[in-house]
Amino acid sequence: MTDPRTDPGALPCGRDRADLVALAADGRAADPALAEHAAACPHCAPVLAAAEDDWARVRAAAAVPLPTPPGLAERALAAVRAVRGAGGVVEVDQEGGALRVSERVVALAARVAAAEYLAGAGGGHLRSVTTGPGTVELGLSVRFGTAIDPLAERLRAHVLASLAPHLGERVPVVDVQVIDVTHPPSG
Amino acid sequence: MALDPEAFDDLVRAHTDRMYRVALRLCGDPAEAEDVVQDAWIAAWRGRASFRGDAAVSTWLYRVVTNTAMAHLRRRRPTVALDEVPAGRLTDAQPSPEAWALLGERASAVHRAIATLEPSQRVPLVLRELEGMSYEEVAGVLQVSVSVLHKRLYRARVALLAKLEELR
Repeated sequence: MTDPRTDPGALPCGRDRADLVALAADGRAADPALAEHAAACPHCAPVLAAAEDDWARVRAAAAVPLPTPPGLAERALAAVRAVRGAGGVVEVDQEGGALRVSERVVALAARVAAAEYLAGAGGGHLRSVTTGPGTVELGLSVRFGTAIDPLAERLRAHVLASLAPHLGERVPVVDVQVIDVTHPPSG
Repeated sequence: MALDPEAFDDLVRAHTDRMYRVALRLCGDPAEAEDVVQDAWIAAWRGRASFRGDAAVSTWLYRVVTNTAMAHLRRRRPTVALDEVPAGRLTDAQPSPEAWALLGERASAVHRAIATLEPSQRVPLVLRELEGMSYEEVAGVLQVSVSVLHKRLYRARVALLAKLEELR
C-alpha cells in the first residue's frame, strides 16, 4: 500500500506533493494560495493534514533544549590550545643537519591517530591530548564495561606506529589516562 | 574580524553550546558529539584564515561543525549501521542522562528517525527544521543555491516523514 504523504508525483488536482510537504514544514502562512486550495481540495487536504501532524512532532523535538555537557567549552579550549600553544620542538638528527618538528604537530598527529583508532575500535572517546618534552598524554572517556588495559595498549601501539614514520627514534612516550566513563546504551 | 587567539577563545565560549547541539542532532550520540565539537574547534582554528570577516561567524561555524560531523559519520565503524542505532542510544545522554529523557517519546522518535537518514540528508534537516535557520542561511552553510537546497530538503523531509511513519 502506498503512503500518500511520501509517494512522489502530482496529485489528481495537479498540485505537487512536494509543495504540500514544504507547506507543512514552513507553515500555511508561507504560501497562502496553496493553503487556501489545500483546505478545500479533497486530494490535498488529507495529505497536508497528515504531513502537518508529523511536522508537529518535528517542531516539538526542535523546541526541547539540549543541555551542553558541563565543561565542554573549556575542554574545547584546551584541545585548541594543545595544537596552537607555543610548545617545544622534537629534534630528529639527520645526516648533515637536524629536523625539528613542533610539538603542536606531534599533538595534532597523535590526536588524528588516536581518534582514528577509537572510531574504528569503539569503547572510548578522546577527550584531551597534551604534550610535553618527549611525551604525549591521551585523555580518554571510556564506555562503561570496556576492558581498559587492552584498549590502552592497542591505542598506544596505533599512535606510536603512526608517529614513528615521522619521528623515528624520537617518537615520544605515549601515556593514556582514563578521565571519564560513559554510560552504556540503555536500549 | 581578526581571529587572534583571544578572539578565537571568545568564539569557543560563545558558540560551543550551539556547536554541540548541532553535532548531537547530526550524530545522535552525546559522546560522539563531544568528539565532533573538539575536532570542529581545532579545524576552525586551523582554518581561521578562510573565515571572511564580512560573513556571519555563525555561518562559518555551522559549516565547520557540519563538515566535521559528516566526516565522523563517514568513518563510523561499519559494523554499526545507522539503521541499527538502538532507541536507547539517544537516551544515553552523558553526562546528563535526563536531558534526552526530557525529550519525551515523540521528540525522541524524531531524533531517532533523523539518526537513520542518510548523513547528507541530516544536515539540511537539522539546520532548517531543528535549528530554525532560514533557507538563505542554510544554503550559505551548504554553499549551494536556495533552489538546490529546496530539492535536497524535499527529499530529506519525505525520508523523515517515511521514517516517522515506521516508528509510529
